[in-house]
Amino acid sequence: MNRILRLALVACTLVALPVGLAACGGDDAGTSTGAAASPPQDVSLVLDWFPNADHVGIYTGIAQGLTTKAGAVIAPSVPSDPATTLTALAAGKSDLGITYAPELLIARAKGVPVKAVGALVVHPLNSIIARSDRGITRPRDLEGKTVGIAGVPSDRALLDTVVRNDGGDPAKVDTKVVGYTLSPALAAGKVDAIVGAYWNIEGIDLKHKGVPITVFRLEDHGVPDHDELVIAASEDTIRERPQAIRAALAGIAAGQTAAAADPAAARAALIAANPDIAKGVLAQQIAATLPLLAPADGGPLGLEPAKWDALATWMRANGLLKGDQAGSSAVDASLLPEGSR
Amino acid sequence: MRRGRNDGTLPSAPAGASSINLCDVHLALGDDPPAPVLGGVDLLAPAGEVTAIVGPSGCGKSTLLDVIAGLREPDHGQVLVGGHHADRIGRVALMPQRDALMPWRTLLANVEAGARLAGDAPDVARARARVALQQAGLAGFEHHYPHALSGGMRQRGALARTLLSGRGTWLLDEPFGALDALTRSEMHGVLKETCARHRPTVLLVTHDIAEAVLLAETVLVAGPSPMRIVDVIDTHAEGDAGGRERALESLRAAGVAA
Amino acid sequence: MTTSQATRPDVVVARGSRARRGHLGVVLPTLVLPALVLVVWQLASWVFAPREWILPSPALIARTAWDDRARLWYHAEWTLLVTVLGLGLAIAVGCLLAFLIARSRLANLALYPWVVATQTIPLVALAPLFVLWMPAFAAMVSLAALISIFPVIVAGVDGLRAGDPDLVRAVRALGADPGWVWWHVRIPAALPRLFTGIRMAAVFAVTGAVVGELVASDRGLGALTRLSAGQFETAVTFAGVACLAIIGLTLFATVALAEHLALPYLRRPTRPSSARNS
Repeated sequence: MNRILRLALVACTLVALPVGLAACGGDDAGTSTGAAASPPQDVSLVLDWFPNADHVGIYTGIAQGLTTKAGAVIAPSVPSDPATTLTALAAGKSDLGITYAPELLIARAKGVPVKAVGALVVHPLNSIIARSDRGITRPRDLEGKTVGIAGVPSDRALLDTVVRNDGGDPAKVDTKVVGYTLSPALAAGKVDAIVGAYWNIEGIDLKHKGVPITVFRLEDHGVPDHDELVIAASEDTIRERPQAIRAALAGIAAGQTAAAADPAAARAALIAANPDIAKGVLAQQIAATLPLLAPADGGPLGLEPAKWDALATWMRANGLLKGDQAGSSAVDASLLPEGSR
Repeated sequence: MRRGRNDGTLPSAPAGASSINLCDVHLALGDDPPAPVLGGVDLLAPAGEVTAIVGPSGCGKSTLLDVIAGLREPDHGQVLVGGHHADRIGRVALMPQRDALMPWRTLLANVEAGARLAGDAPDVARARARVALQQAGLAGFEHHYPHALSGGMRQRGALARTLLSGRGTWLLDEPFGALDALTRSEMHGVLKETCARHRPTVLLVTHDIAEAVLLAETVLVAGPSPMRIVDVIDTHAEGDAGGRERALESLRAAGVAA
Repeated sequence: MTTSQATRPDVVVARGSRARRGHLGVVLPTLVLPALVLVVWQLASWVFAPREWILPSPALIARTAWDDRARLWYHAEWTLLVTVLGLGLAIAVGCLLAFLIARSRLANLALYPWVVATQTIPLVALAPLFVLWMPAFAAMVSLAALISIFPVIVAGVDGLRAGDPDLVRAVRALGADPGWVWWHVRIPAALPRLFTGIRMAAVFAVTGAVVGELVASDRGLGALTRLSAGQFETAVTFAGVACLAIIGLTLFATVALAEHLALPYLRRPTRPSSARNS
């Protein structure tokens, strides 16, 4: 009997421990706030994916000392699983994270206390890329064709909206789940078009490989214009380390501007920090991305609440978002540098 | 071969109890270079009698039985079973040391296999198997699996299967070696009774001299590898009881391991 | 044969209440550990109250599973089908290959090394390729079959090679031709080991199906895990995992039952005590 009791006690402890830790993690307090003119603060930043052209502003800012000058030492890291970036932020595992606007809205609807503090890429990069040698010149030509998708709920919603916007019937468009090998599927001709690939990364890559393609930009075809990549932070971090975030955002904004002014140096900075990056078409990818990182109107990282409201409305109409929180409540532009607000 | 009447009884004597005759048989096994196992074996096991072979372990007795059964061919020499050389396979029944019963078949199904392999129809084979088990004192255990039976019961089952195979020539390869002393002496009785009833030709390989002398009319002494028969001892010389003791003594004197 | 009459056995058979106690005695200990874990987990959730999207409580998971049961079944059905078909395919092809490899030295050298090589290719890399080459369902079934075929082949070859040579000698001497020996001796002798392999294959098939769905499907419990995690529906993720565990256990138990029925001689009844020394 004694042995059984002891075993039970051990089992109880082993089970209670992770539950307790999980609870504690969610309420983790950040470090103390710094004064205005203090030495540069450490800011951790989780990227959305492996380093690529979308991050050229960040790495340029770091390489040229712009971030430290603004007061932040930024340490970018690659996530082990992109889907957990927001949860990691809320659990206090990182100060800042790069994520997607729709995902942020869904998380907030679920009660995850995160907010967007800056817009890294101010227009959609997600797109529908179709093979022009399959007779597809406009979205409604997708009727009767097969579109490769990654298998996330937004795929079908985006496709339907774009096709319907051009007067086509979405029900006549077939889809095939190909996981994340969207580009290879299109290049091999196994599908006629793909949804979920970025026009500035995979799009250029495919063109370079000689695949004849047509790109349908989402915002040109009925999907509300929205920020593809946003910089997010937990509400706790915003409350407890505003100076650090402010410094980081200022540094990144400066980096985006510097990259636009000297793309070659920006490319060099990106490669220096990430030797494994694919260099072949990197210059073209950077060139295509820069206008979205440092837009001609307004400063970089600028957040527009109206865009977020429109996005939330569209998501609700397509069954992607529950609840009735206004999209603009997901945004906190107070920490952006002067020129970007 | 005579099969037995369809009412399921056993034949009174297995047809084809043949003599076994080996003449200067040589066999080498293995590669590079092949090692001689049988080095000129001359042997006669008369029909209807029990002949025992005793010899040191590892001298090739099992290989000899394989050759006689037709499972191996000798490199040199003649092997005659009932006068047949080339088609001797299927003329003798082999009973190895550990019972060769299939663990996944019931006792009845195992014994039945003997008759089926001899060519009987399934229902005939089953009927004959039932009778054989009854005669072996195993009635009531037909539907037991071998693992539920004792060693002695399993060997009796194997014996019954051998009987059903309709062959009159048996090669027993240390059949009682795995049994305890008490069971072994019981099995000696069983074998003597069976041999008295059915009069098969039996070639019994054993390393137990007492067993050899008890069961066999002739004891052949095998030398160490490569095997040859070095002595022939007649245990029933002049039909007197003292012949056994004399045979035992001469075997012991020959230094054959007991 | 006087000895035999003296040793009619007394085979003891469990009857009535003794049998019922036997069944309960198997089920209860198995349930104690998970019950304990669930109770402590629920209590800890009440005490510490972690956020629902980090670690939901068992009560919440159960409620979510019930509310979303249609959706759960939609995915679970697919995974179940994929797993069962994949396992079936693995058993059929695996037995065939095992037979060839055991029977022919040439087949052994030509096939076995490549069978081993296929096992080292990570599933996550293969899944997207399979989906590219064939329809989604076929791709998932192939993945499940590919990963579960290995234990079947290894166990099958092992079993076929582990025959009792004395038994083969005796049966051949009685006139059995090689075909008879294969069908009535070597193959039945291989079955116990083969079933061990099939039991492992059952578990592997579930893993294979789930990994494939996780990476390259929008249906199935693996896909549900990915989709619900992306939507921060942690309770649904846990419910999906619970379904997976149930599927795995059921499959394993089914194989064990099949083994029990197919190999009756492996059941060990109470031995006739007095007949032991007859």
